[in-house]
Amino acid sequence: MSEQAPLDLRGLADVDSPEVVRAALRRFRRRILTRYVWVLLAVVVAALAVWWGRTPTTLQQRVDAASTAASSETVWHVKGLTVALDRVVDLGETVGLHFIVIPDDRLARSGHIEVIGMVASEGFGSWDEYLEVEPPPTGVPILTIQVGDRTERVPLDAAHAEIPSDFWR
Amino acid sequence: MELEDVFRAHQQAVFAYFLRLVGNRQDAEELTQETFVRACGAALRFRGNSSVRTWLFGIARRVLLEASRAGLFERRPELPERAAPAAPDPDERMDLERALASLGVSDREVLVMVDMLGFEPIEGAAMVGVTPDTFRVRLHRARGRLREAYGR
Repeated sequence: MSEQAPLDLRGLADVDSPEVVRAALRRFRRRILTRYVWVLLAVVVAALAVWWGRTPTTLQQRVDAASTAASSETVWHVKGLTVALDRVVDLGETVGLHFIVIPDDRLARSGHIEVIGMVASEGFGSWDEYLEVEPPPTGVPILTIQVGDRTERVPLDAAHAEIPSDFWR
Repeated sequence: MELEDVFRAHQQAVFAYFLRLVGNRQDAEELTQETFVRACGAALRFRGNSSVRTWLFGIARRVLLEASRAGLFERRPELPERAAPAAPDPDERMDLERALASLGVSDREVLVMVDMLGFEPIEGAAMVGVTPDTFRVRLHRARGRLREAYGR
């Protein structure tokens, strides 16, 4: 069985071809540039996310991240409320205080603490309370513990809170 | 040889390949350009295991397959413009174009590869991804259908 010769199609390859090479190279460069921009953007976003994740934003995170500036194991009891000063940290212009507040009975649950010169606080109502205070121009900050009708004021100094008075200068 | 020169040397063949398969100049031009864009990216990975021509047409075929999946062939193809004024018999050429355009795309592809662009069946088989024997059978059938459509 013999096969017929195929039709000659070579002439159909002779077409008027448009110039596309230069446009293709331009498109390739644009595509690469766009890809680099996206990759760069992704890297920046990822770096920002990591930085944001590591940067302490809440007072609690800032206090936990700061190194302890003064140690204290002082505990006060005021009408069923136990207040312990856990950490004192340097936050630059201000000072961070971490208190552990444990109510012993129902009355004590209505108690609260504050410090003169307080600029921020976090955790009211929970056992961990964080206060940010500005060092007073003179003297030492006073901690106020209030439970019901009873109020107790304690200077945060060496004698009452184991914090050296010159710490506040 | 610069990449641009390499591409320019194959530009007409790649364009003709697409023109005969998709049937209109606009799509053929777009696909040809996309083939060279992909080839730019793939050039660094080209190890020279095949000829540049085979490598380029391998890319062209993948571009065509993707376009086909995206619905390229659902659009009605136009008859290609007559593009070779130097052809010995323009009517005969037009009849041949019509006959080729009337075939299915898989028939057209094997005919374009071997009988128009001059690839060996073994190269065509590698590009299409079938065995050389299967490719030869497809080619044989496509040639028969073309002859029938052409009326000879």
